[in-house]
Amino acid sequence: MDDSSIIELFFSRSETAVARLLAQYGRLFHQLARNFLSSEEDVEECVNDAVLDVWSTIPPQNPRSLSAYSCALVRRRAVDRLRYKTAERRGGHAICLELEEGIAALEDAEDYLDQQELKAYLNAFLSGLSPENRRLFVRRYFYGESIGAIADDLRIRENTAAVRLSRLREQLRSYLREQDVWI
Amino acid sequence: MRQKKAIKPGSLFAAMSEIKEEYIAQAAGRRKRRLPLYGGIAAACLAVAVGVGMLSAALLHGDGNPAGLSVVQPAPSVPSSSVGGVYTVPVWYAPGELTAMALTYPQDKLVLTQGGRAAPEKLGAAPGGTHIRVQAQGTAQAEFPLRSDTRILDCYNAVWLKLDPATAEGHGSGCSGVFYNAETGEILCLSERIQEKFGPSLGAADSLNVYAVSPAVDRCLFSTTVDGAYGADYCYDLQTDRLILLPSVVSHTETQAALVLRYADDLRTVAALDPGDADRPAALYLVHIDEEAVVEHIYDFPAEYVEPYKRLVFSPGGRYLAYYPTTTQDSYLNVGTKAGRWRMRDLETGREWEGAGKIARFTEGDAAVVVQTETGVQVLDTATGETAPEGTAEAWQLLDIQAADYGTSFTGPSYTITAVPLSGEGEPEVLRENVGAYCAADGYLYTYSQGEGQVECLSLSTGESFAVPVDEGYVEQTASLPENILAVHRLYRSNDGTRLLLQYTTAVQDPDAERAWYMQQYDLPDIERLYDTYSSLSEMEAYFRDGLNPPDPAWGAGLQLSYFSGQGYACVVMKQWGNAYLFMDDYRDGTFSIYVRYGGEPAYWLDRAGGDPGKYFRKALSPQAEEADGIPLYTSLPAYSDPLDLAEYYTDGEFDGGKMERRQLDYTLIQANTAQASIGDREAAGAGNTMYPKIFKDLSPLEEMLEIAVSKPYIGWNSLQSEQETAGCTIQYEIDLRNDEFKKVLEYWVGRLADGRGMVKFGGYYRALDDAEYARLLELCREIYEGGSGWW
Repeated sequence: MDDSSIIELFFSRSETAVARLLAQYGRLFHQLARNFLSSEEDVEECVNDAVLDVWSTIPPQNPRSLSAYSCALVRRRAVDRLRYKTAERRGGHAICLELEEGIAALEDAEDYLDQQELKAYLNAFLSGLSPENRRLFVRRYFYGESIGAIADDLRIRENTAAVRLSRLREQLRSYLREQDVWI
Repeated sequence: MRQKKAIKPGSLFAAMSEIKEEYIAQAAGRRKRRLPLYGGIAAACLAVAVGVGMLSAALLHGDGNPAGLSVVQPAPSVPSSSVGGVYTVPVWYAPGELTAMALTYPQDKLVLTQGGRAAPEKLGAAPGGTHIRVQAQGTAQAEFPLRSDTRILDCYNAVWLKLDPATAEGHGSGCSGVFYNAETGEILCLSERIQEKFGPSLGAADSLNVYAVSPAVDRCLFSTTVDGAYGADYCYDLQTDRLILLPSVVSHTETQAALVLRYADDLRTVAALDPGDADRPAALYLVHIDEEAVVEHIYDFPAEYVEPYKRLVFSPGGRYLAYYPTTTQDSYLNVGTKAGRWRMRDLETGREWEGAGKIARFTEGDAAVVVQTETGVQVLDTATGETAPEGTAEAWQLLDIQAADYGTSFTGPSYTITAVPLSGEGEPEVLRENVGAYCAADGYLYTYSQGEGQVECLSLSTGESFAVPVDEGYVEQTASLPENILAVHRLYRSNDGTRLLLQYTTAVQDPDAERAWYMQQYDLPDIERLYDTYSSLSEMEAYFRDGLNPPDPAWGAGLQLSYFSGQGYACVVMKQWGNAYLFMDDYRDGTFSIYVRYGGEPAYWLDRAGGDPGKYFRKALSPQAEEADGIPLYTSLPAYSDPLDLAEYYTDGEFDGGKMERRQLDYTLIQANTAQASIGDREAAGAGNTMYPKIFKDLSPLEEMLEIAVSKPYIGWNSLQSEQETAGCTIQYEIDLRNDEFKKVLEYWVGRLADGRGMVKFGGYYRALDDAEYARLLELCREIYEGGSGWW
């Protein structure tokens, strides 16, 4: 069943909408959540809650890519859960630490970027990347995939993938520095 | 100097959830282990990258036989009708001629070229049809550089390829409505053309969105955006270069349910919906674009309007419209089914007549309409509603042509095409098997299979067939792909039936045939395919046995089978990804049905096809069905934890949703299923903040809460009443119950409608409460919340 048919089920509030969504993308959602959460209980709850978010937001949302839209909701739930579960200030997850490496942890700053600003900066940064580098960056820091799995799929050496990611993070820091963000 | 800002720890990581969907989707594309199915150019890239000479230059230039139709070989399926470079289009083929073009991808340039159509030379009429000689003459090849991942979305008239503007470059980039003419190489960017011609007339429009194009690509509908907000809707006629502003009622169709605008194929009439408000009902209008966009009011919906609007049916010629005048909250359930009632309106005269059944199709020239009813099929005069004279509908128009893909990621697409009588009488007939690409129109079925040098045309009326040759270069190219690459063919037909266009994209082949078959079997959206394939548990035995021994443990994870039986019935339960499907033999009434259970809810619903609201998964049990209790595989399965006789939930032979809903809200069952319960207070959390629910142990307050809920009539979200009542509603308390597998048993939310009345909501339904009931629910929720402990 294609995305538009499933979205139509959501619009018509059909009781089969959620089942079809899970049947189509259930594995993807679980894998995405599993990349960030350690317990299957948390993974299940994360996916269940995200699917409920999809139900609650479509309509009026009418996403162009149902999987991308839903994955974003799954990731949000996973990150929320991660934040709640861990006592570490930086979320305690290796990928989070990796992404925010080199960014100053200022607890008493006068002014912090809000989510909308961060979102705009991230999207602007990503738009300037080549498609291949963008895919690499998103697969690591959105989907949380391991470097080995990404390298394998892109048919590059693992070390090459790691080095490219490191350079991309440096590029991100430079970009943020240009936007007058504390780095 | 700009104030420097800091980033809160963890917020950059969290903000990755907010990146553009297209970036998320692009990154996921590789995840599925397929090359992007974008025009097949990626295949050429791959070939170049690995040094495989799959696209031989000889195809283009080497032997003076340029890419295009080579000298025709006799088509073996057309006995004695072709002679050396000649093939025959038989007299029964109404369009009179037929040629097949093919799109190929040369090696030295990443371009999309015309496959070539050597000018057919009619040799004149002869017994059997028109003989046509096709010569291998060079034809002007149109080349245009496209990005290697340019995605082809559709094809109009077998010549206009609709491209995904997000993957187009040059003229295509930033466009809305991008088409590539495969014969001339012209790139048509509709938004650019409109902007160039009418810029000032559109006001300060800063972007255009083309959302509808006519089949002949001679007219389009688009909307404008000004400063990020909606501007207006227009129709642009490419032939007359005319721009027509559509009335504002068209924009009102963008309701909370975000309905997709409905229009006639030729884009001369638009059906617009004004959802109304508390003072007036939702109304259906017709906008006659060619008559200076005159607006005609058709009908006021006293109740449900979403489903009826979605099921509007325009006749192909644009003369008639069938619409559903729902009069009660429940009558919308029949919309689009054999039990549906509708009105057929003549858009020229305004005359209407009432009909009933499922509209299958219109006949030539909109003369008659073929309708499926509970008792068979009717052919009705579209103008009067009277039974049409015999012979008005051709034999093929009383058939439903269905295509099922039985291919796997190892074999590639493999369609079986079946003709099913609309009357329900007679056996379905398999027309063709192992087909790689197909299209059907005007009583003809066109099919192509990998490696074949021809496209076959089958008359659905007489069963006769003939074939037309395909460019040898296309055949060779698709047969010479690297070992693990599959060609996925698409076949398009021109509106007049004289041309076909064959095009291919690529996919990575799964290296393991058995695994690929297994993955295809357990692709759960094909619950419908399971229903279409099997008619009893005994027939499904091999299917379930393979499920117990998955070749890929990762795939099998989460798949659980169990079994139960009773006096006269048996059921296999398949659980995966939180839901359960129940495949049930009932030997008492001779039925085979599929039910679905969502999460841990104590309710089971007769499942139905997503695309066809009238198709419930319940049919006659196979006459050869063996009782499941006699099958060792089933009796060896674990016992299902909630065995029930679903026949108790039928009334007069129909599934009784009301009875099942009472089970869904039965306190005893909910209590028995619940292992963990939580309650969240949104007001306490504050708007926009994360709500952390509390765990509670004592479920007893829920008994009274459920009694209150069940006592009120429920309202579904897809209704006018819902639309009006729930705009601006707020939720205060959220109760969430899970079973021991962490699956949802019940969600029970208490909140307030915008008009101040209380509301209790679960799933896709809500119930309005009086003040006393609402106050009592708040009190109970408060008690539960204050008694809760810890955090979820």
